[in-house]
Amino acid sequence: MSGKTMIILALGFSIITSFLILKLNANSKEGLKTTVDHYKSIQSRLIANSGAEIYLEKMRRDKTLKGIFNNNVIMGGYYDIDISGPDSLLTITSTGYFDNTVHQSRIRASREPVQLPPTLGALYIFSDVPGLQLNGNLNIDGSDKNTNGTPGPEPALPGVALDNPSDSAYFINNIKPQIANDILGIGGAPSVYSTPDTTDWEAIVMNTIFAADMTVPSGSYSYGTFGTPTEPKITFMNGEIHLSGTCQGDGIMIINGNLTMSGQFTYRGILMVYDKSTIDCQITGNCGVYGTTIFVGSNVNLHSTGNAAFYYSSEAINNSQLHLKSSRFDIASWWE
Amino acid sequence: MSIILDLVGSVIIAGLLLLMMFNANTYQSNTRFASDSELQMQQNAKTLADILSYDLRKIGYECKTNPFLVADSERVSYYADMNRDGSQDIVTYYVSDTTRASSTPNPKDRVLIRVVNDDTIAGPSLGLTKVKFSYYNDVGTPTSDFNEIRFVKAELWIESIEPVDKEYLFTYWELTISPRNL
Repeated sequence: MSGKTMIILALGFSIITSFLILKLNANSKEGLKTTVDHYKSIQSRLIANSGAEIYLEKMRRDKTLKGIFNNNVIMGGYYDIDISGPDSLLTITSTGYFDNTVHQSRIRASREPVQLPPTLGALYIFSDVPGLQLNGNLNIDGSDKNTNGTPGPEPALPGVALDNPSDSAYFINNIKPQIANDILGIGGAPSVYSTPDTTDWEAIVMNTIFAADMTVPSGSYSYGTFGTPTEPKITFMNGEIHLSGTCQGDGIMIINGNLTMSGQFTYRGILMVYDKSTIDCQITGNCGVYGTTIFVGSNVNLHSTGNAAFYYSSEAINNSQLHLKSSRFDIASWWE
Repeated sequence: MSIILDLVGSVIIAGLLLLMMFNANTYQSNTRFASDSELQMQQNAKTLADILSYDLRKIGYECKTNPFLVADSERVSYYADMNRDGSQDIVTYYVSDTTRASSTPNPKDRVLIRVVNDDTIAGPSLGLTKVKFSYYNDVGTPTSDFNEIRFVKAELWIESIEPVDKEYLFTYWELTISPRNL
């Protein structure tokens, strides 16, 4: 066999083999492309959904967050967010991009209203062991009062409500006649009643703290505003708190710890002092609360020496309910 | 005499070489066919999975009540506003029997049937031989209670349309979906 023949044969085999390898490689590439395309489409969907979830979390904290936010980088791609509509009918459109794939998720949601604690009296004490040292000119009134002092539209509540009859008896037996005469509300002075209570206070407190607009550390606060009538706030105060001077606020104030109120401190809405163990509350000066004041703890010690006033005010409570925003969303539908 | 021997020898060697080339060509054709069939099966599996994934994620979209009408291993039927026009559609998935795909060489393949309201869509078989739907609650336990269903799992058994070496290639694909509107 000549050399030429051998070369021709070798070339022929090489061409056939090369063609086969190329074809198999092409199929292999196509198979890989199928897998990669699938991965990309999943990735863009995950990016879109993650973007929506990230912004729902941001909206939990920033209760006025709305608008268009583009080019948010995540997971090797990016997403654009468009938040529109009122709190009762929010539309969140999240468009995820990964490589050359696009996925759009569209969520309809509404912000749930704030769950307010029940209003049981101008002053409500939920405790196993209440302790009292009430002096001075304490004014407690369960008759509905507007924040300007005029009568409110709602029926009167007890001036002081407690969670069981023995506590209300203890309260009446341990206040001075002068103060007893100043506890007004349903049934006349002293308006002190017990009320059956099955409220899950811990759940209410935790829900409210979850929605807090302001978180304030322990300390003394002699000035400053914790919400206004047009823009009430949910304020969470943690630890030993002393409110004094011209400090004031509107909305819901949760204090997890001991409270001292003095000076001209004024609050409109719901003031709630909560602790699983002992609460010591010192009230001096001319402080005043319109709305309702709630003490929840296993031991609640109340010491008063000044001219403090606790008034039931449906106006202040309703104003809080109207303006306050929770941090929870009801997801009506999720298109992905 | 030596010339005759040379000629005979050359013919034998040439014949062997031709036989080798022929075998190589046959092998190449078979390999290509198997590779093409495998690729097609992979693409068919992806197509079926994409269709199911897209639709199952819409279960209960804009539906105020429990969306399931049927939820068994061979059929799922549910409410969802598939075209986002504000009205509820009824979507049903099931597989046909083998007669529906009798035009294909594979005797076991079937057709995935998608019904939206009264509109039945049945494409080519794509080699699908079996579909199984399973339903799980929020902790991943199988459930048949419509109110408890939080996850829907679809398992697909897919074969090649044409046999390769008298056997059908086989693949399995499963997807577990947590429809967000449940």
